[in-house]
Amino acid sequence: MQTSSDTNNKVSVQTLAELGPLPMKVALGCSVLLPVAFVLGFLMDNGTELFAFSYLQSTFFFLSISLGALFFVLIQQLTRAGWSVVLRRISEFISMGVIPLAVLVLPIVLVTLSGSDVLYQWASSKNVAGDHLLQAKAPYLNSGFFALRYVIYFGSWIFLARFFLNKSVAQDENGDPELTLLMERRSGPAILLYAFTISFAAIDFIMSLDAHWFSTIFGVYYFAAGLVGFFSTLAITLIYLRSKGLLQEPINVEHLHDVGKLLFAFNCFWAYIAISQYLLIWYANIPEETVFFLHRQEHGWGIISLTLVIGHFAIPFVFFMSRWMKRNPKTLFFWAAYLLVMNWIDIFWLVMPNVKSGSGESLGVSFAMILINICCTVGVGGIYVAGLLKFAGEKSVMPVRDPRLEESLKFHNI
Amino acid sequence: MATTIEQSEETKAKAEPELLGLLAEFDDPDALIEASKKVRDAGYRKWDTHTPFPIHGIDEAMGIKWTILPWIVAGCGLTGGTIAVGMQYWMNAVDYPFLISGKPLFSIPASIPITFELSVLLAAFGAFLGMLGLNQLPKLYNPIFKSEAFRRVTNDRFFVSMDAKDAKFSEIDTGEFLKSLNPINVEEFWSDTESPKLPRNLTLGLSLVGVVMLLLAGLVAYVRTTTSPDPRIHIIQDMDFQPSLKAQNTTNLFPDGREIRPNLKGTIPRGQFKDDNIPFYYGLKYLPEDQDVVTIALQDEKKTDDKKAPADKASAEKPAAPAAVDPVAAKLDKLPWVTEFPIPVTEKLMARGKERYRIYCSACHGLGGEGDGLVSLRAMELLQGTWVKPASYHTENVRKLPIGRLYHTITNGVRKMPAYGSQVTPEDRWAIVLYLKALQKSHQIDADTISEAEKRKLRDTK
Repeated sequence: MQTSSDTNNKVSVQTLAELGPLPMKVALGCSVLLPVAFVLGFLMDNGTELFAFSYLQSTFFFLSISLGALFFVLIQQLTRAGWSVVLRRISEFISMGVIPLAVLVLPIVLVTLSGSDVLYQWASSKNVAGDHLLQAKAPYLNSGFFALRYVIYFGSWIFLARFFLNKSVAQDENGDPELTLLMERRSGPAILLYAFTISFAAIDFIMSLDAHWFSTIFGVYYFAAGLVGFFSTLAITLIYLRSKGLLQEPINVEHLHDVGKLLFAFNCFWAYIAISQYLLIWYANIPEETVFFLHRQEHGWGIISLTLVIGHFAIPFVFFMSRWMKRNPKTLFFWAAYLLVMNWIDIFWLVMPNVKSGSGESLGVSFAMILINICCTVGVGGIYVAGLLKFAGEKSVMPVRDPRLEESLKFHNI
Repeated sequence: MATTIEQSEETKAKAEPELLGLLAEFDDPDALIEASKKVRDAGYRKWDTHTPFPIHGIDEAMGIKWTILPWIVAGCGLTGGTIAVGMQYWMNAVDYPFLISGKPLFSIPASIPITFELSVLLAAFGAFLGMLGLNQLPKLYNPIFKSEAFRRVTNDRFFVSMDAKDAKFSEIDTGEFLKSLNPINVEEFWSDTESPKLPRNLTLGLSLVGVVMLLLAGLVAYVRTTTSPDPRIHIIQDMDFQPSLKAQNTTNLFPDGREIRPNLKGTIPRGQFKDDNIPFYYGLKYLPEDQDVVTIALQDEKKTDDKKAPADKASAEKPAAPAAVDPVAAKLDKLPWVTEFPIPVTEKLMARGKERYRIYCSACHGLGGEGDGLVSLRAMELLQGTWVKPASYHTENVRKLPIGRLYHTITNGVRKMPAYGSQVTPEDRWAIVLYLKALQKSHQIDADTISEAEKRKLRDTK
């Protein structure tokens, strides 16, 4: 354990390496499930489709968490927030997950480039030729442009995540307040770039699975889902690290309370966006729009839709509103884990109803689907967490020489 | 002498000053927190701290219980939600069921926005008013403000105030206890001895304002309950004001400058197709080859009317003569008029005909059809030169006319009589014709054919 060179605030520098090799081993062990899911995909009926969609679902589930983290980092810099300094480095680590995910998403792009319509109908020229609407959308939805946009999206996110982590880490060494000012200045344009890329990425990768359907709020929906996922992950990570003796002093119940408040608030935000999307489609009752929700009422998807309404919003709204729930690390951990699972179900609900069998019929919820999906999620999650641990490496888990650290350490809710 | 009386009155009005509490002054927030902990631990319940800014940790130091405001807000929010759902259910599904685009009369998705808004609104009211209520606000005056030292509470001093109503409070013990907390000063504060009285001018001014406000309300009430020739003031421009074009005006919207659009060539407006029932619509057995004959005849007739108005007057007096002279009248005579009613003749139709006749025809033609209507009588009295006395129905000429011709006359008019086709529906026109025939028959009855009872009744009826 080293101590910071800044004598004014004697903060000990801690790194994730203090956790020992176990987390990395567990993460790598989990990643074995990804090939297992792949093999399962070959054994089961319609397995190829199930695996392809599960893989997309898993990567975009973790991507939503990393993008939520990136948003949190940007917004803290943009608002010159003082309270959050102690937990900003962890968020920066999580945002670095876009790098392993860029690699993990690459096969999806390559498969699409090869003209396969396993995932995207519009990728196959045969489908486009027989479909008037796909022809109309072809100038945007074509595999070449799709691949180009993949490069732009992930390029932007990797650039943003690396920029804000590297500048912050550099400040650990020299304590230069200019770096904070630089990050604050860059966060404005950065958040614009972020808003456009996440919105269009959600449209490209998830909404275009059903190429006939469209919703102008879809990008915001994915963003809202991602923030719920991120704040859950942040709360879980912080409580876990504190239980392992990391960040125990700097992060106290006041910070956890605020993370809980944000998690609660963005869960309400998610519900608000979800009902906004539903309500307009329900009211207008236009066939090409209602088809999205019609799919999700049949073949067992209705139960999952209701689970989201009640489980993702109603239940946590009633119980998680309490101050006590958010200030108690155990209950906070429970609700964070609960909402992370709900977020997983949410992305599952977005992606999986689009699975069609080889003969073109929609598939209902099945044991095979859930099994392959869970294996896939755990496998991708293993690679994701291993990547995060790798990037965290020997870096401090807290920006030890941030000019606002003092404020953050003394943070207190009224 | 006078002064002493005044003094005694004053002393009567004065109440005994009462000790309200003690005030301890500190110059450091940390000292205040330490003092607060001691006061809390000493078991006092009615006491407070006063600071220029919020101090972290003062709640715990004072042992303040967590506020019940969240429960008030939750209660208000739930009330709002319940009202919203109940109101929407009552309005949409019970009181005024109105089907909109095939949705159920009461459906949850449609109710969500209102429910959300009303819950939030009432929760906000609950939060705001609840906060005011729990803080006992607004409080315009507090005896503690009389302390000179207390003025620095908004700047750099920190105070603990002990309320004398506290069960543990005693002037000496509590004072000693406060001194043991090492304040820079301890003082007492007392209740006011003078009853707060408003200045007379203020009372007068406020009464005046009250009267003026009543006047305004009275004016509004007066205007609301009386009539006025002026159009009312439209704060909200409702459907009285429409951007539609006024009838019979010109416009630059269309190249022909006409604001009313003529029918397209070769089209028949909805409900205007008449050729499927010629007797009913035209009063003719069949349409003559020259379909326009009816309207042309009418136009020609009008021209001749305008030219020879005096001659027309003469013709009215001598009906036989113009028929021979006027080729149009001759043409009309030759048309194949119907002689049977093209709709079922019923009591109801007769009653309808009587009613319509009295509305449209009797003003000129008279209730009995003798051409002695009030309009006609008045015109005669005024000696109007151009007035043509309406024909009596009971002349040989009119009686011989086929009913189709009568119908045609009502529809298109004759001589000075205007056309009523645009105001009276075809069925009503036939009803009038029916009543007219009845009137004619009533003048031609043979006395031998009616019974004694009927004769007696006729004699008695006036």
